[in-house]
Amino acid sequence: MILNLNLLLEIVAESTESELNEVNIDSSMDNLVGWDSLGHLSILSKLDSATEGKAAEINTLADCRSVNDLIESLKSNSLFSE
Amino acid sequence: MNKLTNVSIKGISYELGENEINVDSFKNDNQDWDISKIISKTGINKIFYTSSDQTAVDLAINAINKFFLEYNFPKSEIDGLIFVTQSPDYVLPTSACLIQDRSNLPKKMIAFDINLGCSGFVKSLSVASSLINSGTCNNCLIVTSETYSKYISKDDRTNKPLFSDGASVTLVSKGGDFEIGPSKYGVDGSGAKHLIVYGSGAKHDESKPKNELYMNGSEVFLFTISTVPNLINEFFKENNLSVKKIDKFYFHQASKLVLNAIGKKLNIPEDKLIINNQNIGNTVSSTIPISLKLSLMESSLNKGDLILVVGFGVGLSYGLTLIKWGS
Repeated sequence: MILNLNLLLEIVAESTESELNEVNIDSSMDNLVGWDSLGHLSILSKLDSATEGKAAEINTLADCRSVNDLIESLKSNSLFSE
Repeated sequence: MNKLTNVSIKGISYELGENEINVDSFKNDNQDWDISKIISKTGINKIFYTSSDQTAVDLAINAINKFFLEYNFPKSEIDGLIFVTQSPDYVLPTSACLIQDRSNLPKKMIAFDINLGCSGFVKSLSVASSLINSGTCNNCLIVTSETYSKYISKDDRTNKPLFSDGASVTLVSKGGDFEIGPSKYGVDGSGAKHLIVYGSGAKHDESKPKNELYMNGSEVFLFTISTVPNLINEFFKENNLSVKKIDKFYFHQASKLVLNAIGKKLNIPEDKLIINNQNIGNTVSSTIPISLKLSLMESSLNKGDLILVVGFGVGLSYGLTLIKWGS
């Protein structure tokens, strides 16, 4: 499945135990309380499920620290559309 | 390795570090840690640390003593010893030699160390079965022991609530009705830097903390949830197997988050996915034998069960073996 912004924000909100309205394109590990190392593992797990196993093959996702980083990483692997 | 018959797992014992620690208690020294969230993700409530003067070899010897008390097997018949550790007493001599002497095991045996972490038990099981099958020995002890706590700094939120010190002893013997194998293995050394203790050997990098465990959790997690399901799917295809045909999956008990992610990818029903280290922690190479032992103690592992044991982690190294459990 190709992700879009809404779906990505839902995944980040759910993984970080945040309200959906707290998460936006500028959210990152620096400004979203629940986005710590464990929260990031949850994001990776949910992204992998949403992309039917494709996300686990993208090593750059491990280093992402923000929604913008995730978008860039997914885009460069043709897994995100505007 | 193809299927090996005429072998058996005669018994398993384990020993944990003497200091029992509730993960909850880490809150006292680390006010900013969300302990309940950590526990809910890792699934680990308790861990065990050795005291400062107790090593992996000491822990292994305690586990061996426990094994012989529990099973009443004659020590004199042991002719193989494989010691799996990444916490040796010395770079040399080989820890297996120290263990042979301190445990009063026979001198006429093959004994050596294997430096592997979370995949160590699976690979040693294949080595032990092969040694027996080739006639090299008849009764081989696989001893796994780790004291990762000695490599973890007190403010390391990634590793401290996860790893536990523990040792296990598994006796693999000639004869019996177990079937061990087929197996499948893999290694990807390009990921070695993601789970490493810098300064623990001959190579020194002044920019890295010495003798401290470093784990890039995200990288190791991605490796695991991509490599392990692929390995299993390939293995199933090669051997005409499926999740349905396997009675139980004994994965390295890394954490609940990791095991649930693998289970979800492979559609493994909850009752087949064994997660039983809540009150033990991640004991590295000992998690699978401890998990098997806990099942044996609960009588939930029965003759004829087809089980898949799967190890993965530091190296990065991975492997699996199919076992048809015998009597």
